Amino acid sequence: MKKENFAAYIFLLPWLVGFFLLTIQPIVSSFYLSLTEYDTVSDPYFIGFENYEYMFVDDYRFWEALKVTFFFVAVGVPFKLGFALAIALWLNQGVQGLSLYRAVFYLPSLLGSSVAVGILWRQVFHTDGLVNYLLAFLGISGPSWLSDPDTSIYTVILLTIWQFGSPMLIFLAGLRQIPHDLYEASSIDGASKFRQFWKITLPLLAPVIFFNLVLQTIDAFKTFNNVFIISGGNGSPVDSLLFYTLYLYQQGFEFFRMGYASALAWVLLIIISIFTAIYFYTSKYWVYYESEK
Amino acid sequence: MKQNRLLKHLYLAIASLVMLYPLLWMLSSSFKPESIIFNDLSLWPSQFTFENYPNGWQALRIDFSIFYKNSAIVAVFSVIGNLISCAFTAYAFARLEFNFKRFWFALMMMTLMLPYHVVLIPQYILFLKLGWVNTYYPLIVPKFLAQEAFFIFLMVQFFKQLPRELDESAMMDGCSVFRIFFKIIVPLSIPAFGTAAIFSFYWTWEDFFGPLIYLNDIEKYTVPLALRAFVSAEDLSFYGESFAMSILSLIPVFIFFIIFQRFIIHGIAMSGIKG
Amino acid sequence: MSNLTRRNFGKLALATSVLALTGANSTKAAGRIRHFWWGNKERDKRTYATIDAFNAAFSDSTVVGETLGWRDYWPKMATQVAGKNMADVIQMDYRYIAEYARRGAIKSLNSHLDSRAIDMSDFAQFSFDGGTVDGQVYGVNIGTNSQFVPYDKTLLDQLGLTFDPYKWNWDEFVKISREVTKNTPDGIYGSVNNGGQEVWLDIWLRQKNKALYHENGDLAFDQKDIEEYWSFWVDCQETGVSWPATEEAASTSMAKSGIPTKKTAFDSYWTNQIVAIQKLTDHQIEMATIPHNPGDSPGMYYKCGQFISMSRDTQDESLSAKYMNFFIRDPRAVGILKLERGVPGTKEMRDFLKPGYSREEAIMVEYLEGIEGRTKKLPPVPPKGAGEIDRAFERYWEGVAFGKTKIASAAKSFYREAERIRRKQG
Repeated sequence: MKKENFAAYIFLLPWLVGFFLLTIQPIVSSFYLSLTEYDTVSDPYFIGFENYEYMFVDDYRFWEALKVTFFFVAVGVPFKLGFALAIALWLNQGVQGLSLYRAVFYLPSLLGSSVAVGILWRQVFHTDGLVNYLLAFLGISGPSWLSDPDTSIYTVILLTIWQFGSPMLIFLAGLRQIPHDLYEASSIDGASKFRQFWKITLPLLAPVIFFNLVLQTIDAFKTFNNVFIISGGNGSPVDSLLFYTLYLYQQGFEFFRMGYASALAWVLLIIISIFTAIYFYTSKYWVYYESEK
Repeated sequence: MKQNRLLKHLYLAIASLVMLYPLLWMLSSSFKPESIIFNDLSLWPSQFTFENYPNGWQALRIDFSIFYKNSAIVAVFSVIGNLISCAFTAYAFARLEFNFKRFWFALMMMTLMLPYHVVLIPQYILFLKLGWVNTYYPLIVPKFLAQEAFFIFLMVQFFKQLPRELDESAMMDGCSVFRIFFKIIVPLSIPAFGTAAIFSFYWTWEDFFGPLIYLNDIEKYTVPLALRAFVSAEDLSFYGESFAMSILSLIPVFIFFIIFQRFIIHGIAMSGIKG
Repeated sequence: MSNLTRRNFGKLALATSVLALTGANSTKAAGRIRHFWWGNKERDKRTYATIDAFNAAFSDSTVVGETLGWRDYWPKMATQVAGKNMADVIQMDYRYIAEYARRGAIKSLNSHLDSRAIDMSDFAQFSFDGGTVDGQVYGVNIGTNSQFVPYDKTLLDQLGLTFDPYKWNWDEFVKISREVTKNTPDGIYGSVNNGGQEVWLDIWLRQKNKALYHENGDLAFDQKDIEEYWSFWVDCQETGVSWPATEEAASTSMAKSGIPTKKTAFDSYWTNQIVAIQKLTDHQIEMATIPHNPGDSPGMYYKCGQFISMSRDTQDESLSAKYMNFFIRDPRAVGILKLERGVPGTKEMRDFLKPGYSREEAIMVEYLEGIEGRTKKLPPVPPKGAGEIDRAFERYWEGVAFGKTKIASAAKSFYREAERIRRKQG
């Protein structure tokens, strides 16, 4: 294919300038810091790969954090995406008052992870909160969801799912870009709704599904705000909410080990990159772009 | 058929209620006196008070109108910056062929993956050297230089969906890539722009970490930073006022959302053109 | 009042002359300093008012206030420390002061104390103890606190339970708590559970003439102490003395704590927090000491809740000292700040404020004066890594409280980890 180097680099210029001026230096510094002992007050002290060694050999909380985070990603991402897609499809069928429902479903996401959400969520899942109040009608005496180490992670997963508005909106935008006449043509051919979904909607939506999958996975691995406000910042009870970035934050900003925190960050970066690489690699088989046909 | 539709609305209504309950609880709590907020589960306050709103509005040294003004400045510039600069970058990645494309793309994706807490300190030092601390530049300038990879990736995915034939036929007519970008790609990607605008506005509006680190004077605080001043872990918290101000802070984002979601719907009309 | 004002003006004159001498050294941004503190709505209002008063009194200099909540304060501080851009005057907490001092982020104040630019000549000895690290004073006490047990008098009166709040012992604590749990509807208990509270462990140890740390930072307790302490609190949660582990874990903020939720009769807080607790409930709340057995010392101590310190990056040392002095003792400042951060350092200031006390403030001061002479010396400043050990203590306790680990093995693991953290910090 013909190269359009000149034009392409003109378009890329703002990004390149920003990248070299503002972004690359902090990234490189953080890698260097991962090879040092750095308490943020004194100058960093070079120690080679000791941080990484300590992480893999001695630090059981690192493994604990990985466990919690992987579980969260494995459960949270599919559910959130499934939910967002289902609702988007449903809304896209043309309901009266569509924009009202869309707004309603998006509202919780607008709340983001402000302090208010933390308080709110604790209230809903408290021993005598709404959830247990409803369960009581069914004769079930519910646990103290958030403060019981066996159930606390699910409340965070639920909070994440509850805020499914962003992927939903992206799905909706994607659905809106599918040309109408494709459906009309296939209706004339007598295709069933299910077949239309399988043959038209899914393939044409694939790039957007792919986008949401990649982004939600990255986001889930980096989950911080929601857990920070829910767990009181320390991953309790019994480390059941010790998400990876929470641990990283604690090491860096609470225990004055910014060098170690940087090492943790780079390990996470590698983990996320592997997942993303796998997604991109497999996307050849299931994501087709109109522009590449 | 009609019954079916009713049923659907019923389901939607129930789902809406579940989605909205926590919000409604917050709304009702903002009208309750402090002492009953956590002891009163019902959505209808047993005791009404309107004081949380005026008190919250003026609770800090500066009243909230300043914080709203500050937030609006940051958010509006961020939206403009993100839309323009990310569309440019995304166009190159999505539709042009050039050397080192994969390399740059991988780098761009990498910036999405690194937890921001560890770049915070080096970045702070960088901005400090530029003399940008305690100004809005650290919050706005990166947006004009397409440093929010999320939006680049989002637009790449949408741009790639537009049929090649569009560019090719335009090219035959002697259009330059720049013309193609402005005359074909941009108009056909309104839903993507609408989505990006909504996210961009909302993320800057609710972001507190950036403002927290870079803004020192309370006169420069944004709304979420001011909101956080209400709730302190160890000391007295003002929940009622905090809820009242949280509710108010949702209004601008919601209005923005209502306006811009039209552009998502807009997609229908335009995508009649088929490649 | 007039007496205090006059005295103070003398001191200020002195301070100004010191300023004149050292002023020559100060760098570019002289005449303008930043004061950074963590706070809340109420504290912010008072602190800004104090700053305004200072700026009005000394028109040749400007103090700029910066404030955040406790949780946001520390990451921002860490960032500014790394950027060598700290505010000139900062608020410090007991648990971090040693780390900041030993890492060189805050300045020794000894020369300013000697010259009386910061005048603490009439402050009690314990005001210095807390802010002293390795023989140098790094923080000026801006509020004295102590531990106490808030109790719900309304509830205890209803149940007809009484005790001597200054002399009660552990058996009484257990007995009364059990009575409360027994004679109230389900879901109401005697006490919160302090098994994971390092402060209570500290006092428990001190009642036995032990401590958390030695002067040199080594651990001053052993595994056995931890086992005993945890056994007591496990018993408490199993025999209806305290509420269960899930409730304890759920009480992450004051509003969710035992007394404000009316779920317990006894709670655990620092004295300056009585005002806030009382605001969260319509029951009458009173103050008691931590229980101690007859003959034992109560083990409590006066703690400097918060300090005001001078940062390494200060642009104008003498103005900072002048402002700090104003902040801790000028009646214009004291009269605005009142007891919000804790009880001020001298009797004179307390008398000055007395007429304006609310009920809670009055009982707070009464309590602090009531335990005078029965408190012990403040423990040495926590060593590096103390914060991490505290977190580990809380974590292992949660494991025990939820029945995930046995007391003995948890105590062993905790002790080993605490030793390892200390070794790592050197």
